[in-house]
Amino acid sequence: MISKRSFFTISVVMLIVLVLFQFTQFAKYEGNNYTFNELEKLKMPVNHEWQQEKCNLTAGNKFSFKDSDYILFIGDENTAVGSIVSQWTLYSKRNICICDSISQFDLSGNAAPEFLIVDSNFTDLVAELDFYRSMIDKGVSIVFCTLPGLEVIKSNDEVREFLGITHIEQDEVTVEGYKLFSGFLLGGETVYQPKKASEERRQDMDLTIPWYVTGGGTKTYMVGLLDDYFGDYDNKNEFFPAVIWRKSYGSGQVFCIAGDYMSTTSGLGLLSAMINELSEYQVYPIVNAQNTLLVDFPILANENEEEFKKIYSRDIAAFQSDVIWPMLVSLAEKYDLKYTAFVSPKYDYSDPALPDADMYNQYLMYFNERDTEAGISLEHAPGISLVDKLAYDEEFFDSLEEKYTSTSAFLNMEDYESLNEAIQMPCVEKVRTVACAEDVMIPILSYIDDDITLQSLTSDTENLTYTKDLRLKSIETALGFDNAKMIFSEVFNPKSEEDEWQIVYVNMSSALTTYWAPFRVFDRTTLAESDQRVRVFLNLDYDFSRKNDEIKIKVDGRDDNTCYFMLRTHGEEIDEMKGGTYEKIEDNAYILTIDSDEVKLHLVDTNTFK
Amino acid sequence: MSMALVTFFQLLKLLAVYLFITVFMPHFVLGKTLKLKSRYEKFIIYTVIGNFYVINLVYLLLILHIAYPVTIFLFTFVPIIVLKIILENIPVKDIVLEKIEILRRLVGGQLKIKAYISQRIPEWKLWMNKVKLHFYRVYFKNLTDVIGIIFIIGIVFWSFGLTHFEQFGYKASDEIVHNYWINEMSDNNIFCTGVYPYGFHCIVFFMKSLFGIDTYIILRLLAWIETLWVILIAFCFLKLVCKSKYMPYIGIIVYSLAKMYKLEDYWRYAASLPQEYGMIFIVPVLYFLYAFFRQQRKESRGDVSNRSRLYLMLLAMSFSLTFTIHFYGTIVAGLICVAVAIGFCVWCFKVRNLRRLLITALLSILIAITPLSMGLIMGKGFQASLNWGMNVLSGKGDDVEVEVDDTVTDDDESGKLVTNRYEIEEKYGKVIGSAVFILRAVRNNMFYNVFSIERDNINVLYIFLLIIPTLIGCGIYFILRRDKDSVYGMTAVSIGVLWIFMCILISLVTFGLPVVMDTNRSRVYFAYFTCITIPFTLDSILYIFAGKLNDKKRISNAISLLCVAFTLVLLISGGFVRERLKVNGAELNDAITCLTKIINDEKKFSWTIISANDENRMARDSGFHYEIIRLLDNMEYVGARGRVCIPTENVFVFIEKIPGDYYQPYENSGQSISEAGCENRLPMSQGLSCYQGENRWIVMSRAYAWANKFMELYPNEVSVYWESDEFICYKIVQNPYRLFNFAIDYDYNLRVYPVREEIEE
Repeated sequence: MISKRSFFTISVVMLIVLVLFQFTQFAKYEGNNYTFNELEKLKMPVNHEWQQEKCNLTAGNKFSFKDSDYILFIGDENTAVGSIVSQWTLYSKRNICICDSISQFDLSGNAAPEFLIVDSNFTDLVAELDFYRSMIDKGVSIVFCTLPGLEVIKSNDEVREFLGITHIEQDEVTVEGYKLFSGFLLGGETVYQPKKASEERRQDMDLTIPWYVTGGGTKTYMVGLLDDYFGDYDNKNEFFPAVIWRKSYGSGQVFCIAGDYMSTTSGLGLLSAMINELSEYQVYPIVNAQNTLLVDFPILANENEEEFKKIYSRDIAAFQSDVIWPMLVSLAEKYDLKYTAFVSPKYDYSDPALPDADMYNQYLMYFNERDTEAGISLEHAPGISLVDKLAYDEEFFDSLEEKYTSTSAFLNMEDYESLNEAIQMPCVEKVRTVACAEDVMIPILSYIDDDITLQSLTSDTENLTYTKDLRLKSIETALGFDNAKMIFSEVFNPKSEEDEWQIVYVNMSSALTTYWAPFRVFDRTTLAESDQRVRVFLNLDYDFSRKNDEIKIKVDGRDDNTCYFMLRTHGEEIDEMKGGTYEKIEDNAYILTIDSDEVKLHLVDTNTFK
Repeated sequence: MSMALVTFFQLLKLLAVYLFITVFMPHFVLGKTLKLKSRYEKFIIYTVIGNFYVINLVYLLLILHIAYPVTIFLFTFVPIIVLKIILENIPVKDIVLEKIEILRRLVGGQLKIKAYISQRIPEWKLWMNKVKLHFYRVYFKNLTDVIGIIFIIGIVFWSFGLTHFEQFGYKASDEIVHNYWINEMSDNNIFCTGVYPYGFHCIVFFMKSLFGIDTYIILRLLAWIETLWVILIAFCFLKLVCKSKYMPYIGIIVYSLAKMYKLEDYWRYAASLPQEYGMIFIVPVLYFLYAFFRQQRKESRGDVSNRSRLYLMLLAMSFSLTFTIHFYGTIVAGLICVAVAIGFCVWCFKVRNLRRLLITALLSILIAITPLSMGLIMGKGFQASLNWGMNVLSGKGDDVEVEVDDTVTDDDESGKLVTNRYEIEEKYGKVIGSAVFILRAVRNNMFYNVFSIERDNINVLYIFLLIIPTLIGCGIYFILRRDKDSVYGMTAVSIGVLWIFMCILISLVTFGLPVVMDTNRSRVYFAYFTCITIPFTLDSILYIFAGKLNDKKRISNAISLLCVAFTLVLLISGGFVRERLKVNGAELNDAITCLTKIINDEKKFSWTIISANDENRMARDSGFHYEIIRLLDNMEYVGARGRVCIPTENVFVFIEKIPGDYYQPYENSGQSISEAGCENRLPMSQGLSCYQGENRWIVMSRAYAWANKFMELYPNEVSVYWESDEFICYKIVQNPYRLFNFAIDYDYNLRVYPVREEIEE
């Protein structure tokens, strides 16, 4: 028999345990102010974007630059290459002069540009070779975003010599993959060649290229790989087809890109890397933000229920809360991710299912616990306009007892044109930043209007191909920015086995392990946090100078906000920094976190005997 | 850390390693077994045994192609430990069982650690007391000797060592060749360029393999250690045979400090070379012969220790070592044997002794020759320099034509007379004339080859000839006078006879004898033996006089101390202290400094040095080397159309802004690289000549022009790693998977140069 005394003791202990467990849950629930968006309080810099001086000679503008502080672009601004060059000059805070023919540009009496970027479709290299040589003699380096036709290069020795090509081994060769050497783009050496069957889906690069062999005075940054070439060269690395290289002339350098890389956002990083190759060090502003966007997660309506149950043996609500969210949380912990979840009240508006307010509140609570920002998804299935969708959603949001204010939204590219109209709707009126799919003609980062910024997607985790990885590395190099998406609409409406969650998750996880690893040093942000940094970045102006081992950076337009810069060197390391802090990304690359208007860096050269 | 400081620590490490090999290791095994009383004798014996063991061990492992650090470690220490256990009858099993039992009790809690420690404390105290006593006996009881040895080390360091802190490079042209041979040993290739005495190389290879000291560091600094050992061995010998305590110091002081030798007599001590290393084992031959006869005498009178056999074994070892290290040492050792045979003729030709000595001689020759014969059996021919040596010995060499030089210069009243043998014989008669000719010939050879004195004082050199009658006279006096001094007397006669041989050795050409050793080498031995003959002669004289006194030991010690003091005072106050040894390195200090830094800092085999010759061998264990002439030659006339790829991530280019001559001075030696230098045709790339004399200036000028152009083309990839007024080192960082083509157009390589004959025309 249990004694009264023991019974009492056991009861007290059980009570204490019960209270302890219940109290933590109670405290968690009561303390979670999930209906209030903390990020709404973030202080956003006002729009006083750095104003680029642009002189389009093709459009009839007069040449206006007195100093060499401009980039000369020979090409058309309205082409993909032109758009990339234009964006890069804007982000690197450089002025630009554009002309579609060198005949429009008169160098006599004018200051030579800092850098000449050429779209070969707008120049006759054979006839204009003297012009380019004269530019080299003046110390102007040249980037050929695309190379002239193969026949031109093949038939003209001078052109070949000018570009640093000793000979063309074959007009066309099918390479096994590509190798990007370290020290050019951030992320280290990368081989774009599938080694396993599971990697073959990543290969989406154009593998047929002309085989240019480069000679003395050149440096190659990317080559095509050949596994079974048994030619005269005995498979020597130095004879692999060159894809990106430079020819040095002492006074200036000629960069050549044999491929279509400059007509995508990859071009941004390539240009930054080339500028870095031209100087002993390079300082430029970056955003320093890594966003992971959960697009259409959660979907609040139990759509597509029958098919969904067939695949996942449960409805969307249960699947989201029991399977997806816990897995996303573990992924976030493993890779130190910060999510921005774009809640979709409903995706397929032809489906009769209604959004569930309780589910909404539950996820807001989850998000609040995990530092996840809740945005609003403007994506929807076809058959309805954006404005109509928002009108429908409005009803749902109005019905909620406690209102949550979203400051971020995700926009479908097809609805980009109707964004201005949609943004007037009450449920999105507080939105300050919009993420949308990438379009080469739309700047990655820009102001849509005075209040709203645009942050384009730059990568996707579930289907990261080699081309996308090259783009990721490029944008990280140029901007220190990544907007990676995980789109769930396809998981909830799978069209093939590839769209099912278990496969999507494996792909995401392996991509995060491999391709994002070099960039973990950048800050993880939600879209709203990133918005603040983007605004500072767009507003910034800067100047830098060097005296011996000391670099001085003067920053303007940061409005007491923290801003970020990238420092790239060639064998030098930061010894001391005043006015901010620094962190090493990889050899010769640093993030500078700057909190004052003047920063001093002291460098030490590791290539010198101390 | 400055390079001088780095060199100091490297020297300390090397000294510790060499002490370990030659003193501690043999002492560990044989210390208790041999029970030697004299520390000086111990030092000689340990040095011989240590070297003999290491050289033969390394040779065996190399012949078996298993010479790697692990095998060297095992085959060095396992036999040593086993030998110690056997020799000292150490009950290993009991000791191990006892320790296991203690451990078991400690683990089981039957024995507390505190209790165990308190049990051990008395043992430790006892041990500490023993150590204290030992230190007291060794150091405090012999304080004057301790101070004396420190003084010797000090003067040897000042005289021969400081140059290594001023010039870091190799100081003799053949050091780089020895470096190459030692490098090849890493691939178990012992006779890479032919059969050659390998002893010195084995020692260096042993230190490199077992202690991880780079070969180039050993070769840079072993020179001083071998010099110290050569002098210490002579000192120990003198301490063992001299009757007075301090007389041995005079020899060392005079030899190390006196301004009476020519630079050629001792400059070779600045370089680590086999001949000088082999000198360590010459005096031990003399000592072991002396010790054998002394011991034999004792044994014939009832001593049962049978130690004479030990001395014969050691004699065989040291004689074979001279052969194993350098043949010239063997010639001198052979002369020593003959001299001792004459000096100790009374005992030497006793049948028993003669038999034992002949067996020893055969054994030592067998020990020395067998390894070389193995090399020959393996199909390797003699190394080229050995062929030359053999020709010298057989009189077939082109440059060793033996001519009877009957003419000896001498001053007459007019000061210009040249007297020849026939005139002297005519003047003084056949017999006296011949004697006068011989004396003058030796004197003149001493004047021209050994001693640095004013011509007017040339007759002072007869003093060195007086040593012969003095020693032989004193020796005979002691032999005849007292039985117990007969060994001393015979030693004096032996050294006197040896001195005759040395006088003949430096005068071979004059006397028309076969030149078994060229004068440049024999003068080194001659000068070295002055540090034995001078103090021993003085000691003999002193012993004759002091021997008659009652308190002869104390008085002779006091007089010898006074002699040391007088010598020092005379040298210092009379301004007879010579300048310390200063020898220029073949390489600039900056180059060695850079090389050391590169080896220490850069990842192994991730770098290549482009330079002129020496680094080729020095850097072999850590990186790669590319000849500067090969680089330039590959782009001559073809420019960027040539192809020069160097497959390492980092490439260092060593360029001398003021090129050295590399042992071949020319009219404009010391001129800076210049455009004028570039405007010359590139020298032919075969052999060493392209790096010597004016050619080096042309090559360096061209290399500088190339480097500057390359830096212009690759500003971020090329940096100046080190620069001084005389030297510049560039560092080139390249992508190892896509190498730079180092062939570029640097203007001068695309010009057509007229051939020299055309210019001269």
